[in-house]
Amino acid sequence: MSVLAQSFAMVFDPQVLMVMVLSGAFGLFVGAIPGLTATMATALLVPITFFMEPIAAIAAIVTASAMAIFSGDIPGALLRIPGTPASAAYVEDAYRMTRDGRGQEGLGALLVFSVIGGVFGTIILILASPLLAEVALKFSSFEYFWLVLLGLSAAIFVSPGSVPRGLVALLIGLVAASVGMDNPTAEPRFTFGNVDLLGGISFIPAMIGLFALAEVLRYLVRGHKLGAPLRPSTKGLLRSQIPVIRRYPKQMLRGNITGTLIGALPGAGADIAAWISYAMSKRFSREPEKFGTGHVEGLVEAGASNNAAVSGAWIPALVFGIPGDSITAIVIGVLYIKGMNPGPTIFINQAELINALFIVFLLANLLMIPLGWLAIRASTTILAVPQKLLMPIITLFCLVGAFAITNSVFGIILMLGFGILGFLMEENDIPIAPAILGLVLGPLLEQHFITSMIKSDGHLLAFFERPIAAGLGIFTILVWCAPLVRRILFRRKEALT
Amino acid sequence: MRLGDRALGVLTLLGALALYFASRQFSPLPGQKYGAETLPMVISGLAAAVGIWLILQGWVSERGKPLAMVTDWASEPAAWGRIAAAILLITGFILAVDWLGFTLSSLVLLTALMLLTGARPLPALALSLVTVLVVQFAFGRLLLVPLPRGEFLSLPW
Repeated sequence: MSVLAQSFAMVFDPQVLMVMVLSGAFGLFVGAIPGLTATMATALLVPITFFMEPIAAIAAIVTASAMAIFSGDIPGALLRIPGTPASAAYVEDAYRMTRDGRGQEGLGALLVFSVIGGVFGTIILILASPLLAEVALKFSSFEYFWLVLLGLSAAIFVSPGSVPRGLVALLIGLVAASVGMDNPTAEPRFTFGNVDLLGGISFIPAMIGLFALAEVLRYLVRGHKLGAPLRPSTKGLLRSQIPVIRRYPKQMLRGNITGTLIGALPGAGADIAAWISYAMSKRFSREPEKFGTGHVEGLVEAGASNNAAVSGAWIPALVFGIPGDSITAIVIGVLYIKGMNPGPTIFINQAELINALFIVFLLANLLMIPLGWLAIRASTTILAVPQKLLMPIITLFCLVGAFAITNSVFGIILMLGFGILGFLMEENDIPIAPAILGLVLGPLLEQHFITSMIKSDGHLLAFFERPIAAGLGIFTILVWCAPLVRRILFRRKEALT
Repeated sequence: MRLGDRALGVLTLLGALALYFASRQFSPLPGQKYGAETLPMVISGLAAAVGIWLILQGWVSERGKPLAMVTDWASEPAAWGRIAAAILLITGFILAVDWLGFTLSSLVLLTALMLLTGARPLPALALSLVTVLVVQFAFGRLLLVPLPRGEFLSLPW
């Protein structure tokens, strides 16, 4: 029997298929609950995989993690509670679509483009792993610094309305990110003697507060004037995406490529990928003014991008045993337990296992269509509950979600503080999304900057001395200068005419 | 209340100053130019620039307008009452949950919030009870989140 046929036989074993369906349902359930993440879903599965065959174990983890990343988008679209920082990039658009009665289109786009992103990432994983992994290893702290800075620059593009108000939001996020002891000299920064703050501000409670609790507070003061989100119908959910695919093929492809490339960089991951893709989508869009008001274009690009990044993260994990994100870090452990030692030789010595893994990947992403459809159908029933009963229930979910991250009341205190802050920010037209971006990327920015400075003995020009770093640096500076140059050109053109 | 650009600019500038003075106590890494103070200092510099930008922008576009505008809901005392009550209820939950336990304190919180949003007492209590039990089962039993059991009543939840 050929190696490929052997691999197919391994995957299409009834036991493996059943494991995939069950772990997929589990991943969807965990991912859709605010406060519980895809990483948690994966970690919870590890003890169960001890009792499984290697392929069943890997299939369980791959399926659960892919489903959990997608289902994190569902509470974002229905209740404005983003499941992951990656889905926070486009939560405003998804939620506005549900409120405007276009939930079917929004949720359908999230599902379909997640699948497309995942499949694209997998195909690249199959075809170009060794090559991409080689490039990814050339990324050192200098390159990451520019990449993070590029991600932060996305704040200017993702914020609708006034640019300085968007920057105020970014600064709020950065200040929150600098709290705690996790800094170069491990000095307690802005902790005010509080022991809980020494560990810094966890972004999930902050995110739940800024988006979801702020929305509850807004409902309490504005009440019925806001209008209730309409329960989306799941009829024709997938068919409604055919015109969207026809309309935005370029965006879809760009999201897929950006996601896979950024995902393949160890430590960058789906969060940066989704934010950069969303910003890129807005920057190159013909209708940038519609972003943030319930526009599907950003969902297409960023939704595809974050799932492509999940597959991309497996590239360095398989080729070198270097985890691309927290999920693959857990996965590498499972691979070792099951006798699959990640590294270049895995492609030669265990070809049938690695092929089976690729097939599992494709199958898991395709399985997302029926299971995701069922999950959307089940979860939309929550919108049948009247607003005056739903808002208190959302509050309870916020409390439990925030608690689950820290396993202490401190998570709830953080969530409440950020909820009030989010409410005040929205009242003052300060967008929320850039604050999340600052909170997530702030620590990475500091870490890569300080590491680079230690390496180069404090010489700032070192950021331009390596070829990839120089390229990324010049690109970032061009991105900053572009609006200014465009304005000058526009004025000159106006003066001429 | 919506702050205009000038007022928000001044507030950002004050924040930048506070951050600058608070960051001066941190030290760089031994033998290095940069350290724990670098990021907060950079943020304070950026905040100062954004503050000045907002003030200048407001100076041009908001001439003759008030520094802040009162939003529509702010003139209704009931709206202020509702938001204050919600914040107080959550604060009460935070203070009581370790003693009362998750089940009881969330039942009280949920029912009170539903009454606040205008639900009738009996359906509010019934729905709260069902929701709390479902959440307790899903998080506490299935996902093993260690929800506080409470010292008040050590019932088997």
